[in-house]
Amino acid sequence: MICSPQVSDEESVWDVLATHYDQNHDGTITRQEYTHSDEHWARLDKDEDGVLTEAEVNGSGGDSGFRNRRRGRERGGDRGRGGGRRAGGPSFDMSTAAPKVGELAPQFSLPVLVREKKIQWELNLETSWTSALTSAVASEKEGAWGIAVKFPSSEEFEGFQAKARNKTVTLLREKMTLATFTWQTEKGGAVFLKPTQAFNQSTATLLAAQLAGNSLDLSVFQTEKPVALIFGSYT
Amino acid sequence: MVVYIAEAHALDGPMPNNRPGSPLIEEPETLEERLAVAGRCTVALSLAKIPALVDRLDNAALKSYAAFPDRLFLINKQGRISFAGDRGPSGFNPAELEDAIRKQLKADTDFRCDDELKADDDMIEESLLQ
Repeated sequence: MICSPQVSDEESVWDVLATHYDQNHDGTITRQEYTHSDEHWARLDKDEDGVLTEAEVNGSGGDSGFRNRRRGRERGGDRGRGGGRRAGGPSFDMSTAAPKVGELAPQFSLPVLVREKKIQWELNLETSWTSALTSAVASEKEGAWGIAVKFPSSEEFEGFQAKARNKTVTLLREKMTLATFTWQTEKGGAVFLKPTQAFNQSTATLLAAQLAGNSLDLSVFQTEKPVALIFGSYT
Repeated sequence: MVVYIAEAHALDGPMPNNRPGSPLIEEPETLEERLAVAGRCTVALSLAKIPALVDRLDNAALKSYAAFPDRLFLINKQGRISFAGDRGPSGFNPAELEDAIRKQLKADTDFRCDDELKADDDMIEESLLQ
């Protein structure tokens, strides 16, 4: 999978593909070198000869044509040639109606994105350390919602206990403060984190999912809070 | 919440992006790839502070909300759609969503106030009866 977000105007599709797939550095990419699906190969292999070349991928002439396609069209070029928009519409049925105001929101359960697996613990803005977690789940204890977490090893678990004994701990990820907790150990090597500011169930569930990459069920917010959904992709 | 869905203009997709300087991305073919691109996307677009969900490869969330290529919704506490934006990119209007959120929060606050007032009235009535 290729992802080259930091591109310059000079970088072309070929540059990106070749870096990833041209294993023998011969200036072509064969189907054997290309590891993605036939469907995607077919879109790239425009002349259907089983080999990708710079000229083919970037556009006729190969002079960074991918980036020149726009310029080509500005010059009155044919959009259908030189690697421009290919025949065929979008992958999804664009005529499908979206749910309307007042209708029940379609439910889903999706994994929460976790960019950085390690979390940071902080004590009174002084001591801090990082650790991974093997699990984090929302848990209710004596009427209060919190998060039950497990550490990957007994050493990390014991290390946490030694550092945080009788102290409140602040949880951070990617330098963002998530919440501050008191804590207590539970059976099975788990730690129950009780937030110093009360959580409701959805807040605890969302935070646990953010910590461990759990799937989040949209219905958890029902009766507790409204939810804005921003659908989109990178490109 | 951000819901990362199928790439609109993957370089190997039906509509590759040809704007200079735009990210060059293949359509992810596994959930792991999708999670990786979603991670880069949320950072690059300064969305890292917003919790993000990632649609599965069956694109079920995308389809049930007709959300391709991008779209905005607001769901109220009753689990119903309270704002449905038009299909992006032309219909993608964050200002409309912001307005809808403000109205929703105000409505929820008013509702809570009404509820609290009613609870107070009930309590007063109850004490008078005693």
